Amino acid sequence: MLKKLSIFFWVIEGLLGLGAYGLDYFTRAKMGMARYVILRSNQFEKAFDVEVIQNVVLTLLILVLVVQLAFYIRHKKRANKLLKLNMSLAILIMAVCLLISSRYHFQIMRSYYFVIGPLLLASIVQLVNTGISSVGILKDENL
Amino acid sequence: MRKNIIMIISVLILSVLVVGCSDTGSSVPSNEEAASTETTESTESTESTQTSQETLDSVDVTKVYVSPEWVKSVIDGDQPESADYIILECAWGELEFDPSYTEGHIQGAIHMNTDYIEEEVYWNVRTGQEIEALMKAYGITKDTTVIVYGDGVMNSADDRVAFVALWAGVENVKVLDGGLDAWKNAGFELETTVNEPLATESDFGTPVPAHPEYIVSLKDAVEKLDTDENFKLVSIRSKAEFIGETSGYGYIDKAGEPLGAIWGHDTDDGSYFNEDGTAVDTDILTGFLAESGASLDNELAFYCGTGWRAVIPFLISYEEGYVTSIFDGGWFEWQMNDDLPVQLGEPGSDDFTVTTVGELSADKARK
Repeated sequence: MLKKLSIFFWVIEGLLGLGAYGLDYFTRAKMGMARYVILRSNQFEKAFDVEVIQNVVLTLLILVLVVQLAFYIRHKKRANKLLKLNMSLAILIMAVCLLISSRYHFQIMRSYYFVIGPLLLASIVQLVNTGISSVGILKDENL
Repeated sequence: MRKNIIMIISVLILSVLVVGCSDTGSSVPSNEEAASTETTESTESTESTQTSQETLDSVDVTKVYVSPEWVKSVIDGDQPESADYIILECAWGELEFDPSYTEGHIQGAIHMNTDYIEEEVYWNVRTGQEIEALMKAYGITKDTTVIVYGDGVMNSADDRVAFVALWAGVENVKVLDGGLDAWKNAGFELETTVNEPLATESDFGTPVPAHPEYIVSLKDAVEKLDTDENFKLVSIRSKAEFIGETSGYGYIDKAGEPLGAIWGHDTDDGSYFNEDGTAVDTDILTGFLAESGASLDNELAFYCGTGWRAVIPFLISYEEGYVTSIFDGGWFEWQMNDDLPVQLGEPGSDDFTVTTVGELSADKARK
């Protein structure tokens, strides 16, 4: 059951990642898409303090990840393959989010908000997935 | 331990892949980037079936639309007044996404991304300082003969670049009439060598822009519509756009026209092109204007969504000695201001209504 749930979450994350890549690609390849993305991004920046929002979200996600890591280390001996895999993916996706947010912003990457948004969402989904796997080992769920 | 190492390596590889795939956006090429080194990607070229051996007369400096034969004569060195020339293949986007360049372009042509000439808020022409820097990076001064072309008739990227060059102060600007299709139909060679611009240290030769009067700002357009009966704002858009059925753009949610605008027909439906793809002359433009009681004697400002289609009637009238202008912001900039007046429907008809941008529905984006 937990494995099926994990697979479902992984598929969602995969689609989010593909969506982010696709949006970035077509922003570079198609003028109409580029103008749409730039317009919406400009509107987004006017409406919200995006830097604050991004920093808050990233900080919260890192905190959750740290808590999950601490749990994992504490229960490492009981950790099953599913939890190990989910933990690895959670770290991987978070690393990607941090790399992109530290290296890019809207002024140099037109599709930035349309890329970081789905990636942060994927990170949230994976953290939920990892949390469920963690609960699973407490209940001695097996892979 | 081994699993941890594999995990760390996987994280690093994926991070590099994701980061490496990202674009850093378009930027005006700097002098450092405009190296004179050619990057030869392939030496494949299309053999011409016929090469023009005619010696063509020179054309007036103010003539804009020129034949493939004339362009060929420039390349062959038969137009001494255009010895200092540059050929620009104009399209939106970077080179890798421009098959009309990568699959074969005119000999010596350099790719020009229209993002280099347009800012990213209203897609209006960049500042004089930015355009001057761009000209310098491409080795263009006011005395350079700038020859532009696009992949075909309907793509007005080349016309847009030509307009900006004229606005900046380049004195001799030519548009290949009929675009790359005309070049191919004339049987002339193409090449696939990627040519890089050669920057110049020379002064442009005149303050940029030399002709600020070619562009009408939003503020001026609003004022002139209100106070100057001789001023005509001419919409170079489709009928559906003009009467407010659609904005015509996937990224513009509202449809309509500035109150007082007259319809000057669209370029995208071929109204401004002959059957062979060459540009029409002012007789056609005069006819379109007459439908709304206007003429070339009026002070005309052409506009469309963001200024691409509008430059075509500007160039047509320019080469016959008429001074007109472009309302660069177009419908895109107009509809960003809720208080501005808008007309919907055909003027003079029962469907004609007047409202404001703020009252417009936001579901008129092109699907």
